[in-house]
Amino acid sequence: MIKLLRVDHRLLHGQVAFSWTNNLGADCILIANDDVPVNELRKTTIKLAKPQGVRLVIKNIADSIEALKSGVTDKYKLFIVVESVADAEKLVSAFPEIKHVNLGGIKAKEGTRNISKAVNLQPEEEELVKKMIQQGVEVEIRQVPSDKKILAQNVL
Amino acid sequence: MRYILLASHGRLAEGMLQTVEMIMGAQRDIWTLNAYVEEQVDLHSQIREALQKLGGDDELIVVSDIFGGSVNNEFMNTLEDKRIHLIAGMNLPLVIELITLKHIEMDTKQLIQTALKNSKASNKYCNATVAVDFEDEEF
Repeated sequence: MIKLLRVDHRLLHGQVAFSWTNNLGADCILIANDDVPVNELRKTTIKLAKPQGVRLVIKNIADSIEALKSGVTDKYKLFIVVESVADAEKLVSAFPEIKHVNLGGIKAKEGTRNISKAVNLQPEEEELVKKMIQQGVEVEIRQVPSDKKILAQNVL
Repeated sequence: MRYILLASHGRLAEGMLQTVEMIMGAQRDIWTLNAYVEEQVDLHSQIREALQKLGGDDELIVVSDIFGGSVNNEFMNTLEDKRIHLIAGMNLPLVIELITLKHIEMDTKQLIQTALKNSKASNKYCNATVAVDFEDEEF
């Protein structure tokens, strides 16, 4: 069961690891990212941030989609973390069982617009968010679980 | 109710709360005591003021900055009051553990023991930590 897909450019770090895993009651975290599996230092840092008692699986986007579709993740309360809206949209399109997307932190880059605290989107990313919403996904903005949920459709 | 009081020489306590709230969101049951910040305010009355806010069935977990320091020493004198639990050695992992466990562990003594054990494990010399090879996990 997919509890949540979170977009956070920092991927797994203290804030995500502690508060979200606890709040969701997740027993498995999937880091879906094309760089981490081949970047040893980044991979180690993420493994060190893992909360106790939770399984942590790191896969590139294609392998993540394959794993999700194969059913091996069904037995977990799964918390997926990606670093970009584009990666989130790839997973959502390939695996419609993902119904909740949380925008946690997306740092400002060239051409981005600040749509909410800590969330900055390029025009193309805004389109991808809209596409996910049209597919029936709830896209919301929160740093930590106790923050008030802001629906992306209200700020785009 | 169980409250946490962060107590420090100077502004560590309020800084700690600010950092904790950045990570864990707004907190309601955490108080702070910054000692020796204002010349006219004495520590003794700051402590008395904090304890006055405490109801008869409430408990207070005090986290002081350092064992043997004057702030901790001053709180040592309050320990006859069984509502008060005193921990010396404030640090971020410890405070996060206390807040997290406060919602789960109802026995306050056990809560404190577990929080201390867990937070000590996150004081690390990182150069040595990254040298360890971690196995990849699978589904």
